[in-house]
Amino acid sequence: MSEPHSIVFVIDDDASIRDALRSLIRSVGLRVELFGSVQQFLQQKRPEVPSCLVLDIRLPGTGGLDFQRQLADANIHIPIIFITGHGDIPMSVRAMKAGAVEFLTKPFRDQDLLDAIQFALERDHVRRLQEAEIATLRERFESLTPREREVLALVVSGRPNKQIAAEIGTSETTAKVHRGQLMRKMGADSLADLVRMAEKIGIPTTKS
Amino acid sequence: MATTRMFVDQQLLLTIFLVVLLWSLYARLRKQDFFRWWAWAWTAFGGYLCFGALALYLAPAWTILRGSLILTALVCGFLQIPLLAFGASTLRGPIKPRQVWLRAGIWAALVASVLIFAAALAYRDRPMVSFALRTLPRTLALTASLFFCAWVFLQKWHRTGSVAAVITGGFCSLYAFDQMFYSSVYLSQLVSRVPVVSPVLLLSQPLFAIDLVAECGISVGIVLLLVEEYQRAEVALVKTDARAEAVAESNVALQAEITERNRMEEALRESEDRYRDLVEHSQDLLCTHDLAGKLLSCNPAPARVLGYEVAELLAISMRDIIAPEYREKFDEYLARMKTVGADKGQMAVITRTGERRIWDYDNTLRVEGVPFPIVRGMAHDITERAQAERELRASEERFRQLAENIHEVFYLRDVPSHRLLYVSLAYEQVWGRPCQSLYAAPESYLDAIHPEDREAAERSFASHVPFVHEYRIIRPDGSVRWILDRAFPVRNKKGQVYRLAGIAEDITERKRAEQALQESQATLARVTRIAAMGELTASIAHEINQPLAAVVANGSASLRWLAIQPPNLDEAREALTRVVGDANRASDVIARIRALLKKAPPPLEQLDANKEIREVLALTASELLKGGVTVQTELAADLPVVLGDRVQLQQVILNLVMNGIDAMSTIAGRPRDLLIKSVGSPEHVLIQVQDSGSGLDPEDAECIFEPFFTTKPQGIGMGLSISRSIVEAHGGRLWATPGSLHGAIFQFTLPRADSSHERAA
Repeated sequence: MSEPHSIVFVIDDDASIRDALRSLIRSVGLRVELFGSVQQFLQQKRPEVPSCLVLDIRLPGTGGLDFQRQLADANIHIPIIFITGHGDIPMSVRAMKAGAVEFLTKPFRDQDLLDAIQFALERDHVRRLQEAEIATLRERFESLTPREREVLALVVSGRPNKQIAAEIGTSETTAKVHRGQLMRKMGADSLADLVRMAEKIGIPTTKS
Repeated sequence: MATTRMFVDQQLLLTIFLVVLLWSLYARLRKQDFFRWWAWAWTAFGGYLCFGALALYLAPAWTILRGSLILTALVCGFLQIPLLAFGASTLRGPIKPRQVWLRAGIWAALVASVLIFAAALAYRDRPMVSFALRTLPRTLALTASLFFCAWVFLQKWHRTGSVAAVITGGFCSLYAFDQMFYSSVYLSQLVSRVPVVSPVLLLSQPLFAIDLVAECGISVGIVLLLVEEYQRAEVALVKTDARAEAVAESNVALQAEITERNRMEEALRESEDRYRDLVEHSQDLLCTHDLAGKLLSCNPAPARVLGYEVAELLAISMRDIIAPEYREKFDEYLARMKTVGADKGQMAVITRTGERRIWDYDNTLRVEGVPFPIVRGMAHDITERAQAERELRASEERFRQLAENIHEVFYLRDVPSHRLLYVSLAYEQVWGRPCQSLYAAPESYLDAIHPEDREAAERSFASHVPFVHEYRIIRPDGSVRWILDRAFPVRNKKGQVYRLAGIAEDITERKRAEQALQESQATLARVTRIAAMGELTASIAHEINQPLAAVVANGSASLRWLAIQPPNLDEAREALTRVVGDANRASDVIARIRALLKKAPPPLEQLDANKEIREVLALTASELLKGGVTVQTELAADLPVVLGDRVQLQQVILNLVMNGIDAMSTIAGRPRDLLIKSVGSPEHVLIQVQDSGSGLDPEDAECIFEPFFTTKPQGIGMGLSISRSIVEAHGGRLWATPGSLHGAIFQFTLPRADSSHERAA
């Protein structure tokens, strides 16, 4: 049901909880890595596989909620499942708003946690695929000449060839050549495909 | 020659007569210049004739003697001419300016006579020519001179109508014509060398006659002139005499009048001196001015006040010294003076140094006896008085504003008569009754007080000591207000209380607020307690939840390991082992919390129970006052020292005092007395708090010390329970008994510090 190489990271300062969680998560065949503190987690090199984080809210040093924000600031998009000894509503609202997958109050039902982990890993997997695609597209976009990029921007914003030629100051034929070239380089089968790609890498697709 | 001599003699005689006549006249009328100068003129003529005759008789031939005589005669002859003319001219006016002409004439005469003498000497061989030469200039000049004299006399006649003048003038003319005739004869002699008229004719009788007639006429004229002068003098003299007589008569009257006038003047002078002195030394302004606002006179004192000299003040316009904002008023004042003729009022002036002074004036207009209307001005400087009045008004105004705008009611009573001297306006608002009704019936003050509070208030008012008293009043509309009355007696110099001053404040709102505050404080205390419990619970929950969560997770895991085909028994065992460990851990947590919540023994120090009682009473003073509770203490002077926790001990006393206040809060009709006693014994110290409240139900006597037992709506029922545990922790005892009459007695014991009494752990 899940990727065999997925990893669940657990950060909790309570060793007994850590041990219990490791046993529980391993029992469903997932890889588990345990950390006593945020610092330990940050020091560890994380493999590029779908992963999620089971995070205790009350942690020594940096608290769980603060750490969540730190990760977001550092552009680390790992899905987080919060567990807490005594959760209150404002705290859970804050956590969910900041993008947490689940907020579980101890003692929690084992199935709730495992479902949340499953959901988080799926989400991370999708996110990783998307990121990979965007990276490929960016690579392709980088291979374009400056003139082709210019034409690309005009094409995706819906300009006909004639207008593109007029705007970049060349003949229509030349514009068509550029267009064909960039379609090929970007690996786009159609204009709609190209527009979708442009949206993904953040090129404006409406007339400006 | 004989004829010539005879003529000369006759003429000489006549001339001498004339000379004598004129000199005698001049001697009579010394002041008449005319006679003097003509006397001199004719004297000169006489000299001429005299020396001519002498020359004729003594020296017919040209010798030195003849020369000298002829020269002298010529000088005399020529001198006559200017003297005649000058003498005549004196009749025309003052001689002073003409004397320069006389001097010139004399000099001319001298020069002419020397020159003519020289000519005559040159022609001495021809006697006729020589004679003509030395005579012709004289006759010509004499003709001119006589015509001038004649003209002068005729003018005098024309001016005064004097007959003598016309006669003299006429004969002068005649003499002049005569001389003119002589001149023509001598001239023809010189020109033709043949005489036109024979010398015979020249010397004929008629010519002499004319000469004589003329000279006689002149003489008569002069005499007549003199007569006329005399007559005029006579008339003047008569007139003078008559006047002198009249003067003498009037002198007598005048003398009397002068005496009278002197007397009056003296009186007037004295009176004037008095008035002037009065005016000069008056500190008030006394002035006169015209209707245009120009000062005509002013006394010095106010001028000094204004910083001007009187003269300076008179030079400037009154309007300039009037304060600018009063100038319009000043114009109106002038207009009123003009129309009404009198005005009084006040005017502000500005002194030279810029100081403002206020003058009270009362002025009237004088119309009669003066060329133009004059204002009699009197003004009194009232600056200081006005200032004082203004300050007094301002002070009164300030006090009034203060008294009437402050919400507290101020009052001042006369003690012996119970009369109300003053009550501020706020009374109407607070009491809802008019101040006037209170002035009319000062006793109504007590009537308004709530019947329950009246007796106590009356006692306070009668006490003659400063008091602070709270009571309720009932307004006419039936509503009740709380009043805080603070009064203090005012003593006279003898130290007797003669007035009572006080401030009555409406504290209804404050009371309400206090009540609300107490309620909210109680609420807050409950909420805080709940919050603290919540906090504690959360803390305990976290501590327990950790191992619990581990137990659940490990249990779930072991179930899962067992469910796997084939079951992983090792993993399941490990998980279950951890379950046991975690469950034990949870048990430890609970044990730890219990240990934590165990009461720690209080820190002990040596305490003086009396001191703690006093401190608590100080703390609760406002509560006692609010509750209308009178506190009495009977504290043993040599109370033994006890060992205890200060704060806890105070807490116990405070609880008992507050309980007492609360127990008496509903009491009416008897005093709310709280009695606190401390008694020492060999074993311990006993502290009693006795109230006069609703008392104690014997059934409740022990219940009241149970936790959460309360008879009060706001109470939580912990006070006495806590107090008892505190006292017991100190090794003492706390119990309650009903009071002897009413109320309850709460008492507790504390072991003496020096006793060997065992304290409870």
